Amino acid sequence: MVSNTEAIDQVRSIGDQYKYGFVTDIDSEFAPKGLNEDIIRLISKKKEEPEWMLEMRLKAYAHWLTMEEPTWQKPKYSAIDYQDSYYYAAPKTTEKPKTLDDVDPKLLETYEKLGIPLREQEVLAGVQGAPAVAVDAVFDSVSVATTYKAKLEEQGIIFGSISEAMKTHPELVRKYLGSVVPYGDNFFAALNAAVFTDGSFVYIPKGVRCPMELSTYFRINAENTGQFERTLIVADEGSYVSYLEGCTAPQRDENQLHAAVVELVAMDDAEIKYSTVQNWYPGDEHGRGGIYNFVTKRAACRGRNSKVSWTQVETGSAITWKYPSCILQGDNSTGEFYSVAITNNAQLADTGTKMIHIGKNTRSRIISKGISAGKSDQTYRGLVRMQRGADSARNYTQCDSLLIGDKCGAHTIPYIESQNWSAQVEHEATTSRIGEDQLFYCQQRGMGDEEAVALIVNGFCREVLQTLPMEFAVEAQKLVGISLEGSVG
Amino acid sequence: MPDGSTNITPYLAQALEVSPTFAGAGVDWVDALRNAGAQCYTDHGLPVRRDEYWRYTNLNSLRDERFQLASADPLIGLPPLPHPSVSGLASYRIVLVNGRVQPKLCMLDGMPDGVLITDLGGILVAAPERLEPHLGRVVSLKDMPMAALNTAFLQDGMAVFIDEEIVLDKPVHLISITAPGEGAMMVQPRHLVVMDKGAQATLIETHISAAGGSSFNNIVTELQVAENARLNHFVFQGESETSVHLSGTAVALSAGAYYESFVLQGGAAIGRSEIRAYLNGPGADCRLDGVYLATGNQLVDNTTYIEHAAPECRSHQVYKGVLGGQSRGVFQGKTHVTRGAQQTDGRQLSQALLLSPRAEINVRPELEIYADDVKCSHGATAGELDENAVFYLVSRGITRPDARRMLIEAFLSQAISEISLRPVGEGFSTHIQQWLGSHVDQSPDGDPS
Amino acid sequence: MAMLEIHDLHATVDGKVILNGLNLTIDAGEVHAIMGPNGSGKSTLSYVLTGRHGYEVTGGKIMFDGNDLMQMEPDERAREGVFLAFQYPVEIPGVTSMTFLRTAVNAVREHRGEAPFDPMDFVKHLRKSATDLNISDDMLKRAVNVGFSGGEKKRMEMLQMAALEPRISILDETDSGLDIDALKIVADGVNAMRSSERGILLITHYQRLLEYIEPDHVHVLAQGQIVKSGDKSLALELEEKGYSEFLDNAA
Repeated sequence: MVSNTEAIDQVRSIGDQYKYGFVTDIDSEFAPKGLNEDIIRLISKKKEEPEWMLEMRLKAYAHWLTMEEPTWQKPKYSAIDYQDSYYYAAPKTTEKPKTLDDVDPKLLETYEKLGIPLREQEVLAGVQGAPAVAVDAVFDSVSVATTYKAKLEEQGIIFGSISEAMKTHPELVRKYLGSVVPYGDNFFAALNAAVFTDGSFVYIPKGVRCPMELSTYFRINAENTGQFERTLIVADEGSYVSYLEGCTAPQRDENQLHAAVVELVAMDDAEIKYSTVQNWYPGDEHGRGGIYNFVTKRAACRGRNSKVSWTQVETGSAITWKYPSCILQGDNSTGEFYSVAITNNAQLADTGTKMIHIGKNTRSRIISKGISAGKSDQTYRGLVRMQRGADSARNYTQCDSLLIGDKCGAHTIPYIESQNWSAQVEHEATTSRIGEDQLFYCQQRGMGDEEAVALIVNGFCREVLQTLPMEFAVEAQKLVGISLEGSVG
Repeated sequence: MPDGSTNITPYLAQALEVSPTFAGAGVDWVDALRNAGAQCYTDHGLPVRRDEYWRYTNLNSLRDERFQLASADPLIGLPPLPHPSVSGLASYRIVLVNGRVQPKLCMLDGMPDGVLITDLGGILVAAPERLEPHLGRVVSLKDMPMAALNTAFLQDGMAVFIDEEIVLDKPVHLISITAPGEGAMMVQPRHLVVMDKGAQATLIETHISAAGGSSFNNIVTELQVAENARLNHFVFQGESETSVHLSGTAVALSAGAYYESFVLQGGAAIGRSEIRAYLNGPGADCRLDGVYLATGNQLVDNTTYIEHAAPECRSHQVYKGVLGGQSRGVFQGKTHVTRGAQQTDGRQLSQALLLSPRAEINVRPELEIYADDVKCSHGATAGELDENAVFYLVSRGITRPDARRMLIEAFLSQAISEISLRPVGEGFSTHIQQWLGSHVDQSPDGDPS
Repeated sequence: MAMLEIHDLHATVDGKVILNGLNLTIDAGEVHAIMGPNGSGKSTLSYVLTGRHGYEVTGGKIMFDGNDLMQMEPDERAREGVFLAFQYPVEIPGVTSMTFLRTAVNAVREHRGEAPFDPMDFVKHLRKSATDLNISDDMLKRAVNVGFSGGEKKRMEMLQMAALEPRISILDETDSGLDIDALKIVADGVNAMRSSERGILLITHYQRLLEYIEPDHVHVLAQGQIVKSGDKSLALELEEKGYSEFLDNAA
């Protein structure tokens, strides 16, 4: 009996904390601290980049120096010392291993602990009938392994680190990199363009339906390191890809900056489904430590009938600041944004989307579910713009906020701009809390407080969670429960 | 860019120059209030696009200082008023011409004991101490830069005091006429209504222009509604299309107080109604509704801010608009629930119909919430008239313009039906019908001229 | 030892006295009916027994299987076998009835030291009760009580009762708003639960339900007290005479 109770307590105590807070003890190579042209040249050299890439980086850096850090977002943070951070950290075995057997066992162990399968056969031996997932694993500044590359190449699909793609497919990378998010777009996009170290590159050729989920798993490990990854996905005519992104970081007292840029390009009849489960270390209950997650994600629906669907489950980070957006250029193109954001303790989040309707008959759908607990503060900020030529465009937006406890905040700031009379915009937003009667009903059926809250909140988020690929959905449901632990009492 | 664009505080110099000659000058607190307005306006400057609340309404046309403060003594008769059902209503009538109360045009006979309806300029001279606890107390100058400018020019307007438990027998009807002469004219009227505990009153405002010159009308209205008092407030803005009409209303509600506001905006080149309601006592309740009609190059802006600063308060808002020509509509509405304002019920709906391919609407509803036991929502829609509905009516033999007008009227009636005073509702409906009659024409795409 | 013993129970809601010295004993195997006029404290009794916040016990004792019920949280009471069929079942958007039921049943099973059901086994486990109560698979896939008709809600309550196998079931006005066919289905569900192991407490305003579920004891609740007890004939008597007698007595 005693041992059983102990076991339960042990499990509980693990659940109460951030599950992925461990540090991998691995020899890393760092570029010197600080940010200047020399560091940028060093990064570019380390990555054996073509000259045009270095030029773009230096231009971005020069532009960044002229920019001011944005202050309009709701979460405020103490000034970041950009000179007090490492911009390049990589496990010592920097030569990219040819096979998994060459990968440092400590890295393999890390990903195993995180539940990320890096051995292809293990994936195949997994759940019966479950589709395989190809993984690009990014550890601090570099991609350490990519699975299923060969199998994907058979169909002409390019999937791997962006550094490598710059060498193997320079024409593609050069054509699209920065075409959706130019370096001058915003402060953090400029910073990213100057110092990004790695990330994933995906190209799906015409008419190809990618046979498996592609995913990138981002892990910040080193101390005093920012992560600046860059992801570029191009879906050529009539292609389809579903891409997943996951992220974790060790538990540390200082804040670490994650300023990523993600660019998606969908050509005629192409479809990209991009799912994120963001679980960076959120800091402790007093707001010490945690990741600053300042991310620019944007999709260009360039082609007719193209479609991009963003799904995000945001539970981590001390501060989240991101607006995955769609530029709906192609006629009949569709943009979707499904979001669950959970903030607890001292977390701050300012997130939402922009849907810019340019083409005729473009469609967008926004479903946002925000849950604020503890002393956290959360803002949905969104823009729906119907431009002059967006004849018969449609938007539907539903923004629901749920408050748990009387010390948190929930805010909704949508901007709706329509310059086309035939465009229809429909926006609804609600704010409420978990009903006392709902909680009691669950309790009366034998559920404990936290179980009841997790169940009700999962119900609240269901519309979003069910857009996730299945294996991710189950994980996300559990995460919803874990993220809210300690929020009722 | 015009030369004046470098001047970030147009009209300030005029205010500083003339205000020492205004009523109440030399009274310490009055001077201090005017100075505070000037200072606040200096600090902020004329609103620009960067200001969240002025994102969609551009005031560059005010930059070149071509508007001169109206002369002190305009002499005109009362022009014909729109909608007879409103003007025909028995009321206490107070008339402003070019921002100054015109005693000869007012009808204030038979005011009951405990009621004072008069000109602000008069009390500033005769009994400034009566104003001191109220004037400038509700409006937050740092949030309303144009109200700061108005305060620097504070001189005249309507003042109403209703004592405890008095139910005013007739509405107060404020008729405000801008009658510009040759040059471009500016007026800066200031109104104050103080309702003591349990008092009840209705205030109707009619804003019209008497002549075709260009004018800039910058109005500030402060309303204090004490415990369990009730104020119904109906505003018609029908200024000429060569005028800029900016109205800022700040209303403070104590426990159990009720405030109903309906604003019908149909006039002005730039027409803006900004209402900031502070629900300061438990159980306070406010309704802010409105209809706007615009065509040509008009810009019509409705901006609201509701602060739920106490528990168990309620706020409901319905704003509907119809936009033709190349007009632009703006609706911004923020509901702010402060920490501790539990059991808040805050609802808002904004709907716009675009009648023409060149019309434009910008909407920014906003919820900022720091209490958990709340029910708050907003909804917004924008689009053209439902073609299926038009076709259905046409297929029953109704002409296309009639069908369109019927559907637009039906669309607007949801807001109009909220007006609690029937003659006002009828008067506003009539105005809408007339507007639709002359602006929803026979052209196949229904593009108003 | 009786299964449920309520002794001299006093309770307030928002500071208002609702229960005022209520005594009631229910043994395993018995069906009790509490009848009373509106506002007599019937629903308050059901919430006090299940531990709802805001229902404050100011005096008296409630013993359940020899344990002090008032020392337990609402979910502990449920896991110990106290079940309330709600007069107004609550909607939980986005949570399917199936997930809800399984979560609840597994919480109770864990408490009893039994292995939890996996989703597939649970479907099988539930099938018979669901069929008996005329609850379709489609209904189980819909969110808990969302968009359910009055009858569907009450049948879902009965399904939960059957699945959770409580020691004592409190049915709060379960008959309200039901047509005769739905009432029969619900009554069959309750009768199927009758056993020597289990107690049932029916709270109702009307005698109608008792035609289908025959009680062993009938009590009249008025002004927060049991003012009269008898057998099922008492219910018929109330149906004829109404409650005025008790209202007058207390006044």
